[in-house]
Amino acid sequence: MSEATTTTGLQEAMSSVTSWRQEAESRLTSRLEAIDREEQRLKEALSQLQAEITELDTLRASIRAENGGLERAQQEKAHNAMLQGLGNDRDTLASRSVELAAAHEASQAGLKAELADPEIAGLITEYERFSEAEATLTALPESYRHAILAHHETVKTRLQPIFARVQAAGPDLEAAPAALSVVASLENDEDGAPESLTFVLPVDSAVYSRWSDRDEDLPTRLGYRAVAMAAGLAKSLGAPAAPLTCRDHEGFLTVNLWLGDGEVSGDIKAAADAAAAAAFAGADQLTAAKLSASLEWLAPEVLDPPEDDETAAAVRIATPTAEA
Amino acid sequence: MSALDMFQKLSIKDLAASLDLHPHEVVRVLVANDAMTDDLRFDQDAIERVRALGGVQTWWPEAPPTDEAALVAALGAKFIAEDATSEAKATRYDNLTRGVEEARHRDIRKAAQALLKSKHLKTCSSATGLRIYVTESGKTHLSG
Repeated sequence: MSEATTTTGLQEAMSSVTSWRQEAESRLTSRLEAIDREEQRLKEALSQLQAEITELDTLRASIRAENGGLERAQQEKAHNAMLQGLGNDRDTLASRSVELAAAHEASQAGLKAELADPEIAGLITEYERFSEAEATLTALPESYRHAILAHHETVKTRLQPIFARVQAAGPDLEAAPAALSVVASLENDEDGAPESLTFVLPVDSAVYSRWSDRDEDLPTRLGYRAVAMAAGLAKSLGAPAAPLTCRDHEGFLTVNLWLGDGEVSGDIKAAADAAAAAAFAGADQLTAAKLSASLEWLAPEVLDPPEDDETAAAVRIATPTAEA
Repeated sequence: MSALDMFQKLSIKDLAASLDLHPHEVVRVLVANDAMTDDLRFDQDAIERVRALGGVQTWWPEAPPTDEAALVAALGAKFIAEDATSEAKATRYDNLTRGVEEARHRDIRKAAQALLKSKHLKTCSSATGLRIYVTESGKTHLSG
């Protein structure tokens, strides 16, 4: 008979403690493993979020760079829009000029026919001969002189309506009213003092550079008005001797007033607007062509955009346009 | 001249052509003297009026010398002869070339530039356009 193994009550009690310990350790190990897994999961998620944040930072920097270049891009677009607008106005002015010249020619054709009338032609010949001989009249006896002068007055009276019609402005056009813009731009120096005032006209610069080869048409006369306006403005600003120059700007005539050499008084833009309104409203041929003109103020950077750089180039690439 | 032309008033281009002056310079002279008209048409006497008001002169009744040094000397002498001897008496810059064939304008401007560079001449701006005069040092140098 084998000897039965027996455990004492104490041993059993101690064994149950050991079992409890093992079970407890097992539970805790499982919990720790669960925490490690969760930590690992969170670390991976954090890493993913960090990568996304870095991506956002890069995107933010790119957008900020693009935003910084927007002003330049806008200036370039405004410059092109200015050239487009001036070009359209130049075309309008040129076509009205042709129509006005044709209307004037037609009105003068009737006059030419009248001047060819033998009676009128005879009176004109008398008038011309009197002009040539006027200086010699003093040598004549008074009665003769009086008779000749009286006759000359009669001739003049007969010709007066002809003179008036020759000197009269041409007829007004039957056309829809149209408005023209003259670009104006005021540039200040580093201290904010006015330095240069530029007007860009919807007129080909050839009216200035090739004036002797051209007819004195409507664009030419608008050029005169602009020069008169600028010179009058210089006077009104207390700088009558301000240098005034005309030049070409991308095909258009510009009139520049240099204000940087002396003190000018008053609100330059308000004075220029008033001077332009007076100059263009008083322009009889513009009125006859059913055209009005006014100043459109633009920033100097729009007239002459800064030279291209990498930022502007990048913005152009980033923002595709209709013309691309 | 046709009968029609005879009765026409003068345009700014007519004035400019008669005076050998750029039309925009004619406009400046007219504005400076409050003589612009609404219809940009002018009576015959406007030619002489603009000539006088604008100080328009013809400095070279005969062709200027072709030799560079002689031209500089002749130009300097003109300033003394025409009494363009101070800013108040300054002459129009375009008087220097008026009446001279276009091909010689560059020579005259070059001569003027030489005198400007040596400070014997000085330019100034006026209500009727760019002007030029002989300086004190220029008077001494060019008279001697």
